[in-house]
Amino acid sequence: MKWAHVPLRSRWAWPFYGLALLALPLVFPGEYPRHLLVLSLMFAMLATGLNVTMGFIGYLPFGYLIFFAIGAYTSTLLALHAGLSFWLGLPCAGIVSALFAVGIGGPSLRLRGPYFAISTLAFAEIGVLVLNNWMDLTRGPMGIPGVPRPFILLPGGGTFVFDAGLSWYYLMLGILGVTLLGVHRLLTSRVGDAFAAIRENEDLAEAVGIPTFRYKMLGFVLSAIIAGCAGSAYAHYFTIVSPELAGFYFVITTFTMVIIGGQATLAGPVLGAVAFTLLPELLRAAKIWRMVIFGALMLAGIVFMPRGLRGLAADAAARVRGSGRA
Amino acid sequence: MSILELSGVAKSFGGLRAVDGVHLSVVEGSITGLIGPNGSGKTTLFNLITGVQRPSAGTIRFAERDIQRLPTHRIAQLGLVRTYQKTTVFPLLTARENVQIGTFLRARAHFLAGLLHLPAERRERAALARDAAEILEFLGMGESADTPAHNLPYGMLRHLEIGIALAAGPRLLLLDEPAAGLNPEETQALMRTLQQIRDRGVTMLLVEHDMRLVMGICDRITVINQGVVIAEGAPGQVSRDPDVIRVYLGEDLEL
Repeated sequence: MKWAHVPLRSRWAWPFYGLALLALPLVFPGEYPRHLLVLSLMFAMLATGLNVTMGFIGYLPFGYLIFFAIGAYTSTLLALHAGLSFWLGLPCAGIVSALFAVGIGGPSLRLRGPYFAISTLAFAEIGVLVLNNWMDLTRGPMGIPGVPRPFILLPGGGTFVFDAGLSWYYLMLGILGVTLLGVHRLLTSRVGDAFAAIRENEDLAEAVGIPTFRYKMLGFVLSAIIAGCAGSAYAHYFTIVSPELAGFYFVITTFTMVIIGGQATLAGPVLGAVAFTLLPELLRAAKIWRMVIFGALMLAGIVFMPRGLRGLAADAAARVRGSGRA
Repeated sequence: MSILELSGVAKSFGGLRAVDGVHLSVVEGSITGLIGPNGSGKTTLFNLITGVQRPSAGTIRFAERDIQRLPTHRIAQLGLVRTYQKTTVFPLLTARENVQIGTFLRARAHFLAGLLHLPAERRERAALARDAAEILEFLGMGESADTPAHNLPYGMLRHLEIGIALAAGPRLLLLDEPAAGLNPEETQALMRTLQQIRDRGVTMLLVEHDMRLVMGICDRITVINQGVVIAEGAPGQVSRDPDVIRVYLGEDLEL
């Protein structure tokens, strides 16, 4: 099984994953474990978006997290100033992030390798500066609290508010599911071929008639839409946004999740996000050694699983089936 | 009659005139050779024809259209596809996937039909996959179809490059030193392959230093030196041209 191209060969595995994910919060009762599960789904979405550009097209968008912040602020400002609900704020966040991606991608996607990475980072830094200094709109580093929780009107006349971990878990699972389905469809169409061709050899892709710039833009905008939607969900779950969303912590965490999980696979970033959110908690028993052990595990992961958790799982599955195609 | 027509094409890099007013025409259905010493402007000319670089002056007409301002992928869509001097494939993909990507521009189904995996789109993909398999068979690579390109031996890689370009369904194929690094037997095999490709109706323009290949299969040869065409004609004619012998072939060429 080859990690680099076809994103999903084991069709049978998805219902199994789905059931496991549905049952997960029931296995872990209590608000805190469920909060961690919601958090891991949000990161799964963020990592999935990053993976489109980084894994499938092979371009490293260092400034990616600005789209997360743009989505979060868009949804927040629309909710507080225009009274828009989360259900409208979410698509608006995606659209606004997409528009910014077109603006940032226009010049950046003409560059390659480290130049592209640095260019997106520069745009992201401008964004963070704006968020920190446009006090009237964003309240700067203090952030904006009081983002309303999403709710739905029940047929009986009451309202159901998404305020607990359990309801948010299933809400996020739905959003992530739609996202993964969309990405999967895209990658198994000829868009996936174009992405693979660009990642493997961009000049040759252009020479055989693939409009490479257009496809790079498509992937970059898709990444931004996913990040923007994740940002909107984040804002309405934590009910507060701040410029930190595009800060160092989120950048490092998201990139690590994609790398540890397995680039250019669908399940990889999801696995990476779940592992990376839950593992530090499981290591709490180790007290002060916790982050040391965590760091060592990360290092071991990069050294011993160059194709990430997803690659490891694929090799194991191939061994179980006894097929020689690993 | 002529499928590609260059008139007065020039390209300067700063003060260096790499290509200096080249007139060149490629007759449809022919194999045309482009030869000349290193640094004479052959690869630059290829880059100009395929839109990788823009000419400073002159026009390039392909199939009755001016193409000198079009981007590379548009030129490919019109039916002009190239290979590169340095071996270029999609290294981590299998031979089959490499050739399938070559068929990309022939897909007609709408983008949304692809997203929805509509039956028409699936049929088209299957048809293009069959074409790719047939091209691999034609190149004698059927056995290696599922081998990742980076594991293929060098001779096969050179064939695979041609396969990727063929999959795009070109009318004119530009080959930049296809025999570079091949041993004599592999070169012989390549010559047969190129003749078969011509028999399929694909016109070719090739840059090559292997004179056995050039003189063996080319119908017409153009010789350039320092960015200028110094001779043009049938192989027998060009190989006796005193200017060509002086700057490129040397006195003791044996064919």
